[in-house]
Amino acid sequence: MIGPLIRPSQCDFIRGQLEDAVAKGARICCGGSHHGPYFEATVLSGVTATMAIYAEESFGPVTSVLRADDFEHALTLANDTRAGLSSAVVTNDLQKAFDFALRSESGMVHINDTTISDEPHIAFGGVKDSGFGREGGMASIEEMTEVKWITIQMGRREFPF
Amino acid sequence: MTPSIHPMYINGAWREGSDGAVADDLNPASGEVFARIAQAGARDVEDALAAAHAARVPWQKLLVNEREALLHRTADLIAEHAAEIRDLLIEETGSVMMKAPWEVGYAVECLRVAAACLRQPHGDTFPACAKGQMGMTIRQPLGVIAGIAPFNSPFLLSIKKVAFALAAGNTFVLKPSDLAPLSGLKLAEMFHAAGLPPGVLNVIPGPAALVGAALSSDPRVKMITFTGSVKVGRHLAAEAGRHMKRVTLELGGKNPLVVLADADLEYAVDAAAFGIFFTRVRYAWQVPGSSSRRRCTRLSSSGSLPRLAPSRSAIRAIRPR
Repeated sequence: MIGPLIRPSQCDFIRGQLEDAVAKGARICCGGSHHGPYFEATVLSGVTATMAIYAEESFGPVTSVLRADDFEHALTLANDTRAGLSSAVVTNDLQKAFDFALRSESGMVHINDTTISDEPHIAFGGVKDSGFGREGGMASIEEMTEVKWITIQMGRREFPF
Repeated sequence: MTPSIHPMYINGAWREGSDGAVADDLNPASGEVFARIAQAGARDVEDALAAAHAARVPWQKLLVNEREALLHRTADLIAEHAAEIRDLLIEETGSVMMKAPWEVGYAVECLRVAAACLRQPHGDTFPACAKGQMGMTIRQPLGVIAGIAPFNSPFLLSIKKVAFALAAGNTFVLKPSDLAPLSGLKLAEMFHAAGLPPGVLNVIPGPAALVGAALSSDPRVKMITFTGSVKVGRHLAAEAGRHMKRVTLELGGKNPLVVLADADLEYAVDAAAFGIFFTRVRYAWQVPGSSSRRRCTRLSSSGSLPRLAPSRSAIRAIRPR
């Protein structure tokens, strides 16, 4: 299911992230190496904010599992990134799901779904370092046109002087 | 055998770069040269901009149903060539069989959505505070839009920029990713075959230092739309500010998936695994309260992490085909 990374340097980059994380106490639960351009599906635990992979995007099949003490802590961890593209929450607690959706610092929130979703008629885009502007449907039309205000006066207007 | 050189698309015609420069397009699975791509020089960029600038007024004057028909014809052609485009995405970017056909299908839908947008209302009317006055807003095309596309979903993300820009009455200069230029050129081929007037779409692969720099500073370009890295996005935003252009940036992500204690764990793992291994995710695990701490202990020792561990599931590296 996982294809090759786009170029060999990307494998080196991810390997560097993993070495840094392991040196600072993270544990590789599975994966961790690559065979040519194919990087193994990799899961890390024990990741902390001191590690590069905590903040940096990997752009490869690597993820970190972070343990949170409670809902507020999970939300804080989720928002503790310069990126703000999308997020997801898995729960049957409607109150908490919406609380998360409203307070998540991201352009897209998916409740009981994965973080990746894209439909051509819906506004796709992020906040913070994930950029600005939206793509898709009428959102694209609005981004790609200029609004002009036109007025028309019926009869003679009364000017103050 | 040396692969043939793929020309660029300017003003409705295919041509090699004015400087004669060519770059290799590698297949990431094999590391071999998959295609050779003509690289735009300064004269090519100028010709593409001039063509897009000249084409914008006649393109804006086309009737809504004429632009609509053209978008639908392009969608039909892409659907007809789906297998060929799928194979191109697999060879050029290492896209897997799960993703490549999805990307082609998305492109078709995207063109249909853009066509549908043409018939939507594009303005409002307003009451006024002056006696006898009536106000309205209309939306007018910007003119020339420049797009810089990424490698990760090169066909989809190129079409997402081009389709809506054209629907809104703009003309376009596209710089495809250096790592996936053929996907952008294939898009031009489809629009060309559908009968797009010359100059409305121009596709010019080439070095960012030359092509990207020219597009982001030329006064004829009214908007830059970019998908890619934060580093380049930050640079383009600064350029857009300097030259007073609009800019849309779709940059990186570090997308958290939060699992609350009440969640269906099997489902949460499936959702997380799809998100991670389809793209990239940061997975946060919440374990609140005493009742779930027991659950936490059990899961962290033998449950959740191994369950997410791909060696225990069907997720593994495969060759694209």
